[in-house]
Amino acid sequence: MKRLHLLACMVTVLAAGIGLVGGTRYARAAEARYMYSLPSIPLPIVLKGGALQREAFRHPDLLPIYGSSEISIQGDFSAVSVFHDFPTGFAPFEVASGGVNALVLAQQVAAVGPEIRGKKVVISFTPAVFFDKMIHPGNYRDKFSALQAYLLAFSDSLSFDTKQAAARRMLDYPQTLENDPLLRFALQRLANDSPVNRALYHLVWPLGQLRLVLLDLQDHRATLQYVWGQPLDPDVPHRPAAIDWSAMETKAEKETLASTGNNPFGIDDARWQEFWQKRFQTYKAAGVSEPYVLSMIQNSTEWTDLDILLRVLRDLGAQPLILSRPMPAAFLRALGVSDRVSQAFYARLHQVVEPYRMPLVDFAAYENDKYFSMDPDAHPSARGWVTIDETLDAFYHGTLQ
Amino acid sequence: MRFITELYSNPRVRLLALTLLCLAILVGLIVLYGRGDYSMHGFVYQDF
Repeated sequence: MKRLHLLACMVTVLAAGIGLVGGTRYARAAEARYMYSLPSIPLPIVLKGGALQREAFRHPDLLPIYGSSEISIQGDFSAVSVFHDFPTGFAPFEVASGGVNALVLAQQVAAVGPEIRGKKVVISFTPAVFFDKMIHPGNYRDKFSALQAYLLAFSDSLSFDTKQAAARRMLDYPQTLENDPLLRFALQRLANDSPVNRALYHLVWPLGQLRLVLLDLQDHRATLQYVWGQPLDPDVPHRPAAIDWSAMETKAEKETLASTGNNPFGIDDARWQEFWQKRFQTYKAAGVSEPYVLSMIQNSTEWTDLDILLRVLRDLGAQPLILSRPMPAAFLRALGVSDRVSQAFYARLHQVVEPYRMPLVDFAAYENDKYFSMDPDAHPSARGWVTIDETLDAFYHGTLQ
Repeated sequence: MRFITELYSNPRVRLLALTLLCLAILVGLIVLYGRGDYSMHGFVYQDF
């Protein structure tokens, strides 16, 4: 009788094993097949998953771009529109959504793992994230992915120091770890630098790997469910064509000027009316001052998070382009904030990035061009997008100066 | 009932039944816990 039970269990394990291996292979094939036809909107399975991000790095004609709303808010001149048909040989694969910060990006990139080694990737952010003390817990919780957090905490491609720095920051958001005692325990052991804690971390390592197997299967399942539920056409045409950047700039400039007439800051008319006009009055009334903004920029934990992200990129051997945006100089000046703040931002940015010897484009030259961004959060205008598109094209083709 | 008892006394049938039971438990676990959390609710705007 016992032998029969044992045999039944063995048959089940064998069948489950075959099913899982076959299912994973099928899922990976489906992911590769539909990679190009995924819609260019922030998809939770992309943002919180790992499978599709890894798959993107397997396609040399896709340029992964990680960022926040400065990437995900799209228009006729945004990268996904301009490079949609692979005119110069590539299309962007965007992993971007509003409210994302460098700590979230670090986990998303860590989730790609060794697949990123030697590959080009763009990391985008705006100065606006450095105006806050730290990312809002609600925003962090919203973008938090257990899969990505586990992939970072139990990565064997990242150095212990990098994992430790990330763990210390991840523990600042305990709500995301409330229902996951294993992850919480591992992060606490990583954060506490002692031989006992290191030993305990290595002790739970196999459990972490086991949990990762399950989370990875969930990821493939979610991707398959999405692919099956959408009318996706895997045959996306590649239409090589030369881009006339000069003509595009002229067209974009015309569009930008036509939509920024109701305010002196070059802010998009609709945005000014809906949001920024009121915000400007509130800031003025609250006396947003130079020492206040300067202290926010100097003390923001975003610098720590950016450093963690850069460490992750370095450890994984990626070839990133760090893409910042110009400070909203005209808007800040109107609030009585001098250029000292902008200078402090650019100086700190270079100080953090330069030790990693990664190319950095800060667009500082455009900080007095009020038409580069469509609002003080540095969301690019049509004209700003064309300049960014040119930068992306040059980076992909290795001609970035 | 007698038919089922007789059938179940066959070792091959019992092996098949036990295997199906194990597989059903496994499928049940996958249905219950195989879904990841991919929910997103938008973001909070942070001013300076």
